[in-house]
Amino acid sequence: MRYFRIFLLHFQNLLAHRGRSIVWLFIALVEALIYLAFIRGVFQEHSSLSHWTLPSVSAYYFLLVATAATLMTHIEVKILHDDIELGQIDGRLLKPFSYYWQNFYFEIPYRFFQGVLGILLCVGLSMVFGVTIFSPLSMFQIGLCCLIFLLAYFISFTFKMIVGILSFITTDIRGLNELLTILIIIFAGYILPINLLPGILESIAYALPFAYIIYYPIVALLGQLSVPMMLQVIGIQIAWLVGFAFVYKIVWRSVLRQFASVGQ
Amino acid sequence: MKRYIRIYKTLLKLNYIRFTIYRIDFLNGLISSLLWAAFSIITIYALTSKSSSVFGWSREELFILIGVFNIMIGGLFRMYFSKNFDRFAQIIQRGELDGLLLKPLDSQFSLSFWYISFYGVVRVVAAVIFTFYMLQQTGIGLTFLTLLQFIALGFLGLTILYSLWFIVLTITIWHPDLNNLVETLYAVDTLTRYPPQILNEFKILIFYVLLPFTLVVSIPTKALLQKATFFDMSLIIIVAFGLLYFSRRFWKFALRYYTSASG
Repeated sequence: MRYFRIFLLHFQNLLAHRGRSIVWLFIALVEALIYLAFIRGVFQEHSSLSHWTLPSVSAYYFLLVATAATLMTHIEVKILHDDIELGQIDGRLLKPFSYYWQNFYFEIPYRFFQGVLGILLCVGLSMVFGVTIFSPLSMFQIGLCCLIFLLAYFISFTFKMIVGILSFITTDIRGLNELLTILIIIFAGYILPINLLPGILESIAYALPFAYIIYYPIVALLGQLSVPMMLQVIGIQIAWLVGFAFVYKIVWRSVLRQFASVGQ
Repeated sequence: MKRYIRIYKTLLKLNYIRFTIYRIDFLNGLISSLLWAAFSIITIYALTSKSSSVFGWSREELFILIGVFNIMIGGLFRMYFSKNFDRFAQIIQRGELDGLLLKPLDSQFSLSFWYISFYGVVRVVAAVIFTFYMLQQTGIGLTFLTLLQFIALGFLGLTILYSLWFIVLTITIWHPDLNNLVETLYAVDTLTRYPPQILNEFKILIFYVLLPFTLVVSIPTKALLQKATFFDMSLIIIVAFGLLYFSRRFWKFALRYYTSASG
């Protein structure tokens, strides 16, 4: 119940600054539409590419807007700015709540709000362009899709928490963050669906966790994954999540030992 | 005018001193800038991996477009304007515009030209080398006239981009909490990396809103490729001066509604 209250408080704060969330969503929309517009040019010369057709690739980019808005967390920015640069960390560490869950409930309202707007936008775009975004899935497949989305969210959040808490020691993670942003854009499936990337980039993308945050949830929704493949994706997602949880624990212990604060 | 040139010289000196003091900041900015340059090349490499030409632009021509993008936007625009526009949004949000308006300086000038990020020089040099290499690969010879045309059109392209950023950020006078509008502009800027024909795919109102962005880099690149027509040149001149004039008028108009928020 206490965590739910924290969630409501943050949600109230979000609603007071809802314009900012709308702008973030608009940015995601612009980027996705630019890539889609370019890829439509490629499809002028090909009727299909690696099983992708123009309607299915359009649906991919529309779903990308909603999926990225829901699943791609940005908690590391808040940790760096509010907790480290503005020095709010002392107060947070003294609270009788886990730092991980405090941040989780801070982030959830933003993902929820932007996700709902993203879905509305996605549906609107699919109507304007006459594209079908959802394939008929069985109840079991829908259940597996939900699980893939849930695990994707936790992978994204835990990974960004690890990046964020590194700033306890370094006090500045901007350089690292820029690098990660670029890697995520290339290898999560923002530019192109992973199987359309050129050879070497495609192989790297499958070996990194980012595809399991964005690409696989989208292709699962598009009905491009069979049940055994969905189960395989879930297995790999669990492996990544366990790995990140383990790394988080180690890094958290380490940064707390080295962290020195002057307080307020 | 002379006074402003003198002030700009002083700002250049001050920015140089800042660069020599905060060297790690310079290094951080430099690495990040080069990473984004590499990213823009990888993007075109990935997007054209399945097709040798898109919208009538060959893969090599698209790489030249990326090179020009990195000279003009990634290099020069980021060097002279980006940091100032980041500051613009913060100044409005924190209510610090009062102090700036009270200075005996034109407010548009001080909002636009205060900071210079010297790491942009490295990106410009790297991008020039890349562009000339790609031009050699395509076997296009450069004449003095082509270069002159490229520089003039590039200058007009930057004027368009500057005016568009200024117009959009002026909106924060009415909505100070929308300081992330500047991020939107970074996103829309990426449109300049692609041929203007991509907008044909969205034959709706967006076409007319986003068109100026695609002119910024594509027309100077056409000049390098010796494909720029009289219509292209007329269009970029009209759009550049029209937008510059509008940005000035819009700023003056917005200031009438500035109610001050600072203490």
